[in-house]
Amino acid sequence: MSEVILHTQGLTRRYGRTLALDHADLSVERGQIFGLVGRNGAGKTTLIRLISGQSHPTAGELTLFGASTPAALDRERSRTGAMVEIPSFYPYLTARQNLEYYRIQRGIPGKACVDEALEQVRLADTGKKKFKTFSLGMKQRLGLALALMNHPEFLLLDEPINGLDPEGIVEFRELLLRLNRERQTTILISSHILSELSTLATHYAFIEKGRVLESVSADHLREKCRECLELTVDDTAKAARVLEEQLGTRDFEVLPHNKLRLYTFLDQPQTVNRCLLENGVGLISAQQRDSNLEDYFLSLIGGHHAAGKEGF
Amino acid sequence: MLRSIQAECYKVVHRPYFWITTALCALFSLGVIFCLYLIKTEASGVNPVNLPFAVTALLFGMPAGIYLVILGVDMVFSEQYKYNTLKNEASFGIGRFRIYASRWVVTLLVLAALYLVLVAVYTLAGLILLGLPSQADAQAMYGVDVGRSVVNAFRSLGFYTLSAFPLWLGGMSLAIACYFLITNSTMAGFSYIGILMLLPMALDNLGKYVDPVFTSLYHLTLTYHMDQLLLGDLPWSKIGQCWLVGLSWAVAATAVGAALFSRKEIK
Repeated sequence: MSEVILHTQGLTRRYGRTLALDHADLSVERGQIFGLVGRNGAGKTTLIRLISGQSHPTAGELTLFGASTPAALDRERSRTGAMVEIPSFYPYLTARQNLEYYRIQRGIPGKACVDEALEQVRLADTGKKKFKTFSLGMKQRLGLALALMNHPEFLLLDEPINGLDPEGIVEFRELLLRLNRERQTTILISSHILSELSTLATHYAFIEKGRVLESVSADHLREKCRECLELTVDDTAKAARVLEEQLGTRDFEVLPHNKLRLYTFLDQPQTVNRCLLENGVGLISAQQRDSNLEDYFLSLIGGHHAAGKEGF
Repeated sequence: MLRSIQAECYKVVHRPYFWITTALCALFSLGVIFCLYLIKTEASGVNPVNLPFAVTALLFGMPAGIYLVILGVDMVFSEQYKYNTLKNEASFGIGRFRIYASRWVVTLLVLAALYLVLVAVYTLAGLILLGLPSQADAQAMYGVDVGRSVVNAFRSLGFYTLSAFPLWLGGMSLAIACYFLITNSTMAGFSYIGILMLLPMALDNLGKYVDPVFTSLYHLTLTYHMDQLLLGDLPWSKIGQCWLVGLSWAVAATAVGAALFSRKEIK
């Protein structure tokens, strides 16, 4: 069994009346690239800030490299690299001076790591240019350089590709994959760009309204996103009953807006149609489709809303 | 801890703010001496404006030190919340107390450097532009010889510094607590000045008109003791009181500041 790098149990963060993170359970194992998927304000950044020690949980437990007490967590955080929200540095210092400041503070021996980190993100030739004159893309690169400077075992990246140009995104992706492959660096990454996330992640957690709705491996997700028959009916509860009792299948999902996704009988749509009609279910439409990460996420949060409304 | 102090020193010396403020302090010292020099050249016959006189005159400017500590705090900490750089430290597991303490130590070092620059430039400029008193002037003004008049002037400065130091330290600790706990640096600066000026004023008036117990509290403020330094001699008992009050403020402000900062959300 792989070593668990990060484990959260019932992790909760409340700001006044707002529940930013609601009993989040998550487990990240060594070598995984864990994608956090969620809308703006879903709780992704709150979770990353709790892990990185910028914020304290209201309730729940956080374990990092097996440590869970505040002092031990702080100690283990030196094995991580983090880039949370917009990278922040001293505006009156250059890229090299900013990294040198953190190198001294973190006690990393030798100045070579500064040059190496700047080389990795293509900022080695910024010279005397102050951080305040950097473009957003350059700021992102410097944020990444800082996160990588101490050769972390666990990288926490919050929306890291914001502001990067297409070439930068490709380089960034290759860099992360290389770190993961060559150094076994575990990565927790949140991004709105789901297509980009899908090229990296080996595991996903879907977050909505502070709750981790689902945590799933990329392989399992691919299986879930497989081809299906999407049916629009007048009564989904009745249709579900018919599918179970008459066709003997439970391999379907009930979605909002009177939709159902059936993963079997893909080559027999007429059989399904006839069965539903014969049992008094009004069939409005039926179409064959396959979904991607984006569709899956939308169906998940849509389904969650529906479930919430119906009181399941 | 030492690494954090080293890093803060690296940051401060690479910040234009530090060099500009140091240069301004040096220029201010030169300016004061130059003004004294102008007075000196206007006088005829008797020459009371000389180095011992300038050093003694410096003491009257020293109470401003408790307000000027804010320069050092601002240099080390200002805009830290605006730049959001504290998150880079917290996410690496650098404890909140270490963050707080490193700023405290480096502010003290910066202020010590500023004090030394100010006094050194002032003394050097005084020596060059004003010179030492003549034997006759020293006897007439101070009743001692030239050498003794210079020693006495610096002795006064030394005793004053010895008494004022803990009060400055208390003020510095209070200012650091304000900067750590109030997100906006300008507001933090004003809060410090407000506490320093308004609190003693309020306690003094409450003591006069409401209850004498407030007068006792007024006697525990930094400003009260700062004002007392220039009144009369400086016996060891007075110096001791300054240390007791100053260090109490330093410990209390640091304890409260660090405790509240340890629970503060870093954005």
